[in-house]
Amino acid sequence: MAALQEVTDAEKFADAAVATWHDVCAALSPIIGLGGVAALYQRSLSLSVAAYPWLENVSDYPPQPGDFAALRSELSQQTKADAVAANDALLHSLSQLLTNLIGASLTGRLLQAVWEKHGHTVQDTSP
Amino acid sequence: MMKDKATINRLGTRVPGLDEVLGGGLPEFSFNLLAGPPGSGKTTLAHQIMFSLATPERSALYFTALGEPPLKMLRYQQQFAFFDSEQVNRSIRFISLGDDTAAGDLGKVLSRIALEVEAHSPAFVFIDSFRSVILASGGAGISFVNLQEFIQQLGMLLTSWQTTTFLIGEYATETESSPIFTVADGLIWLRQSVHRNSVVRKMEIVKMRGQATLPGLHTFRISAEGVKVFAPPALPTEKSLAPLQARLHMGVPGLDEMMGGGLPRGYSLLVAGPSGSGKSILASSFLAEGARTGETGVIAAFEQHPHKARGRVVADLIDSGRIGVIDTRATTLSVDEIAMLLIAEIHRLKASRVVIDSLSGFELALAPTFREDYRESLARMMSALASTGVTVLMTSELEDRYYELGFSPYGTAFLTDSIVMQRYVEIDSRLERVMAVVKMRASAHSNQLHLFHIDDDGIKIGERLADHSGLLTGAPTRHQKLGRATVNANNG
Repeated sequence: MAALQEVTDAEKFADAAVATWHDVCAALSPIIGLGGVAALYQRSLSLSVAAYPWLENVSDYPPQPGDFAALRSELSQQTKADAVAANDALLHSLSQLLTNLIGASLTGRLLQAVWEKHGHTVQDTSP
Repeated sequence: MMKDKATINRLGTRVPGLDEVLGGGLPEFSFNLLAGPPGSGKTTLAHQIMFSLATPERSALYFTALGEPPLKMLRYQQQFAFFDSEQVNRSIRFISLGDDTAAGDLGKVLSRIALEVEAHSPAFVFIDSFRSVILASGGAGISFVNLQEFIQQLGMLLTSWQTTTFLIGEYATETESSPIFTVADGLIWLRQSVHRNSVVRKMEIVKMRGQATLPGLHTFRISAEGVKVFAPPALPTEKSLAPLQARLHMGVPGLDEMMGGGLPRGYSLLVAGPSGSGKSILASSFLAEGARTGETGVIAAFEQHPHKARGRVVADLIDSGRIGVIDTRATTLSVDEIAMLLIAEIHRLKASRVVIDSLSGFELALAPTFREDYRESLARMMSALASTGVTVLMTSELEDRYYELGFSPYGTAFLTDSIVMQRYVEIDSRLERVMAVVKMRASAHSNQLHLFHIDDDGIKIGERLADHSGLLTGAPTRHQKLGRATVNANNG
C-alpha cells in the first residue's frame, strides 16, 4: 500500500515537474528560441548526471525542443524524494547557466513568474 | 478648406549627438535601416535607442534572427549603462525568430512578425539582423522580386501598425544593391574607418525622409555609457560685428598696456613661440587672472599634464572646480569631439576663458584621418567657440626660424583675432626672451618688442629694447650714438 502510494506520488510529481519545464520553455523560447532552450536543458542534464546517473537516459541528441517526455518517464520511476532532488538540481543548473550568461537580474526578470507559479525557490547563489 | 499637412513627430533618442545629426530626432512611424559591417556598433545603437524610447505604454519588440545568439547579445548588451533589466518583458520584449528563419520561408517569418506585432501593439520594432532573415530564407537563391515583396509587405504591416521600425543589417558596402535601400525611410550607415593603424568610428545619415540631416561623416565613440555621436558644432547665426566690448586682463603686468588695454572679450588670441618660451605660463596667468575676478575657465591641455606643469595657482583652481579640464588623453580624437567636450564644459561652468594648449599637441592628438581636414575643422571649432562668447587663448609651438616670421603651422594664424609672439634672442651672451603683440584686430596695440623673464610668480615684462635692431634674426645689433654718427656694432 505504501509502495503504491509512493508510485502515485512520483507520478504526480513527474507531471508537476514537466509542467514547470513547459513553463520555463514558454518563458524563455520567445527570447532565445526553442533550440536555445533545448540546448540549455541538455547542458543542465549533463551537469546533473554525476549526482543522478539515471538522468543519462533523459539526455537526447539532437535535442528535441520542448519535449520533456523522457524526463517525465524517468522521474516517475524514482522515489519521490529522489525525483524532487534531481529535478531541483536540474532547475538550479539551468538557472545558474542563465545567470552566468545574462546575469541574475535579467534571469530573475525572465523566470521569476515561473518560480512563483510552481512554488520553487531557485535562488541565485552567484555574486 | 483646411489643408492640414501630416505632422511628423520627431522622437528624441537621447543618444548623445544623434538627434542633432538626424536633423531634430527620429521621425515617428519611420522605417529605418541601420547598416554597417560587423562590429560597427549597429546592435548597440539599436539597443540604446530602444531602451531610451520604450515605455510600458509605448513598448518595443526586438526580433533576433540568426545573427548572434540572443543569449550572447543580452550578455554583452547588459554591460552598457543604458541596459535596464527591469524594462525587459515590461516595455521591451525580445523575440527570437531563429526557429522561423531556420525553416527558410519568408512568408512564415512575416506571419510570425505580424502575429507578435498584433499581440503586443508595439510602438517600436527592431529586427536584428535583417540580413540573416534574408540569407536564411534561401540566400542567393531567393529572387529579387520575392525579397522586394517581402520588404514591401513588412513595411506596409509595420506602417499600418504605426510602429517606428529599425532593420539592422550587415552590409559591407553601400554599392550593394538591396531593395531595402529603396524602401527604407531612413538609412543610417555605421563604419569603422581605418587610416594607418588608427581606427575611427563614423556614422552617416545617408537618408532620412522629410527632414534635413547633417550631411557628412560624423565620428562616434562607444563607451560603457553606449554610443556618443559627435555632431559638428552648430555655427553661429550671422550677426554684425559687435563693437569692442570690455577687455580682459591677462594677468601679466605690462602686457595689457602692450595689447591696447587688454584682450577684448570674445577674442581669440594665439600665443606663438618656441619651446620653453613661456606660452603655457602666459596661459596659466590668463586663467588665474580670470579666477581672481570671479570668472571660470576651461583648459584643454594636449602636452602637459594640466595639474603638474601649470603651477600651484592653476592646480588649486582645477581642484576647486573653478577651472574645468578637458580629458584629451583618448587617442584618435576628432576636432568635433573636442569641440563638443569644450562647449559642454563651457556651458557647465559658465566659463568665459578658454585655453587650448597647444595647437601643435592638438594636431598630434587627432586621429590621422582627421589631420587632412585640420584647418577646416579648426576653423569650425573656432567659430563654434566664438558663438558661446568665450575668450580663447591658444598656444602654438613655433620653431625658432629666424629667417621668417611665421606664427602657426598650416597658416592657422589667420583664424585668430590677435597674436602675441615670443622669441629667444641673444644679448650680451645671454639667451633672453622677448615678446611682442603682432596682431590685435580692430584695436590699437603696441608694436614694441619687450624683454621678459619668468620667475616663480610668472611672467615679468621688462624694458623695451629700444636701442637694438635685428632682434628677430636672433642676433640683434645695438645702436650706439657717437656724436653725430650712428654706428652699428654687432654685439653677438
